[in-house]
Amino acid sequence: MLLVGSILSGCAKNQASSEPIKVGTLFPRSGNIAMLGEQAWRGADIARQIVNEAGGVNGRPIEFVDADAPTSQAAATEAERLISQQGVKVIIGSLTSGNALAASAVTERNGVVLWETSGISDEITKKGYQYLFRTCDRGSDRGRAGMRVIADAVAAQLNIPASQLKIALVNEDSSYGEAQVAGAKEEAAKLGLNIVAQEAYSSSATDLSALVLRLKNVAPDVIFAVGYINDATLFWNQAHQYGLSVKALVGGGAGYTDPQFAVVEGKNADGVLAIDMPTGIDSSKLSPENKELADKFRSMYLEQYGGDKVPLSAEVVFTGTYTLLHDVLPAAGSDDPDKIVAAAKAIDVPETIMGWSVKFDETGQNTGAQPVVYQWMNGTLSLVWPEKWATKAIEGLPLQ
Amino acid sequence: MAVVATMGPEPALLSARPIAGDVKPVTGFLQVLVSGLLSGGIYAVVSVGLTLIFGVLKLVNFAHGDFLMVSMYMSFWLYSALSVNPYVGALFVVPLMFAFGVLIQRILMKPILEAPHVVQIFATMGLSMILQNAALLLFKADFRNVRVPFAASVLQIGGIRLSLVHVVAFLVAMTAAVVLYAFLQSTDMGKAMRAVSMNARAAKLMGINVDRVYLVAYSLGIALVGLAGVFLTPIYPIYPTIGLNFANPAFVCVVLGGLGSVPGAVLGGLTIGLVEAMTAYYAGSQFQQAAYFLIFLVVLVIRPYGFFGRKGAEVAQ
Repeated sequence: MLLVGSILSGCAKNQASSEPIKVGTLFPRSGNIAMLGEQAWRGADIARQIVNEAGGVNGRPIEFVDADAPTSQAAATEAERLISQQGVKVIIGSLTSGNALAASAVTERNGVVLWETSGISDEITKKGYQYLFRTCDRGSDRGRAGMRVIADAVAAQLNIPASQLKIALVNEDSSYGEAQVAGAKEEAAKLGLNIVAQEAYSSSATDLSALVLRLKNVAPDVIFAVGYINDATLFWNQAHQYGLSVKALVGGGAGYTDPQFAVVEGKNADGVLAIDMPTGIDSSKLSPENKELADKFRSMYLEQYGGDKVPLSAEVVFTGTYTLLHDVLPAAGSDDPDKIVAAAKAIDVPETIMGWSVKFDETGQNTGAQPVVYQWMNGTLSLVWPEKWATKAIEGLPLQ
Repeated sequence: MAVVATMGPEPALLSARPIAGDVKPVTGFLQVLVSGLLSGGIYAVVSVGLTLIFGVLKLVNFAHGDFLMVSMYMSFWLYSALSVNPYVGALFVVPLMFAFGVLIQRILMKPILEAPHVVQIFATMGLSMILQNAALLLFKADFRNVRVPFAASVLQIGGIRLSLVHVVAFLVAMTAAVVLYAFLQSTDMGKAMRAVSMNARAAKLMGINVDRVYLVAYSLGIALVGLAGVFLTPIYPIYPTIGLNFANPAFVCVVLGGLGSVPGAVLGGLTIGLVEAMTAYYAGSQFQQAAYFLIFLVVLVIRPYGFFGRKGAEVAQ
């Protein structure tokens, strides 16, 4: 019985060996974030091109079935369409967390895999979904990275034992800021760091002077701050105006890594540390195969789309998509969602072009996806931590 | 993507060398008081235009914040294209905003003045969406910044620090409020406006050209928010939805002060600024906005016509 079954399925496999394997893509290609969404899709598409050039998935070429999700409502309806009308069994998404949450609800109830490459909200992997995998880092991971860089590198630079540093957490109060701070508090407890204050504020606040004054009373050595560009600059401006002096500022992504931050803050940006996904890692620091892959990806992107630097959205989506197409689907052998899930759970990729390893935990989160820390100096952002990927050492601390 | 207009190097008025953790309770209280009042001045300058429009036209201008945004963009473009200092640019921006107000009043507001309130509300909300999306389309969502040399300057009086640009905005707010008040009390047009705000029908019967009063009041309200925008330009980044951050507190200030009362708007603004700052300082910044919305609720329940409003002014006539 088993023998017959395996012969038959072997035959079926052979017949289907050159039939394309359909993979859905769901990104915001129009609307407010069309630019980033398009970059994201391009990253996925180049992964598809590279894998197909190398023979596809077990000889089967990968064919994308694309869908546009300008809003999260569209993400839900388009996911539905991809599944019911196009018969897609695995979808690559989503760029925004809103889209990820909307689409994952649909994919999960249909038993279809959502391969999340770029949405960072912690919520996404907290729903207990079985058919969801996220290759990139989470908001809370940035908080954890913030505490680690403080304990590890900042304390050393300041010549103060980490446990003696007074650390204040300041965050904008949406789920983005709250997730980072939750991660930070968790990690701080593990590392034995002293959190002396935690202040949340609304990103629409027009004045943060009272917050700054409150922090002055606490006199922290280091501030870990999470905000978007407008409140980050408001906070840092008012910190200077009201004389809040700290030895180091570690910004959790978004506002603090925004190019506008250095432009608005000028000299006051020098020495500020900021956390984000690793982008444009020096390919010579990667393994030879990944170096080749990174160089190939980057040159293909720039050749097809112009510019002089590959955008982060494209890179992070490429990385996640390549893992799916190159490592997971071949092991799964088909686009059967249960086989994909089993294959994903089993993989253990030591390194990708973003430096991340890939190994999923029981919630579908890639535990190898870690953010890195950059530092502003003279208007440029350089990768300074972890040392493995750093292009420069941390400098300019304590802040003047 | 980053668009910032700058004017040379940036000397601070005093070299603000930060001193860590030396804030004593009294100094701390005074500092919070001062910065709360300064912040309240900003709310006041945004609110006086809103209260005038409501007082005279009985119209809630939901697009108020977006007019603020428009004037900030005007200031920005004058600065980046022609190197005009924003404060000087006010001489162009304020009349331009007045003209813009005339245009909008004639095209949009006049036809719906007799319409049910629901229509008026939707009209101004629609206008708000149009303005925001037009800005988004024309200027994209990028943050623009005007970096004047004195943007970071800080005055120090005793142990208290005052941000120079905030002080200027505060002084302008108070001056504008006083001038507006004098205008309303002493000039013919001002008195006509007050008459219309009390009873439009009776004013008409007294021979007042109510249509003209509506036009002037609305445009003046828009010009005032334009003035506010100019003085906010050196302080805040400019992007299509920035108006919302000020419009929401402005509504609270106007209701608190009494719809249609200029002194009320000023007092309301200062109160809200103080409440925000004090709450944030003593209770935590996460309660900053909640505090003044709480006050808003309390006022609406206990004294809905606000500090200086006329009893019944808050109800549609």
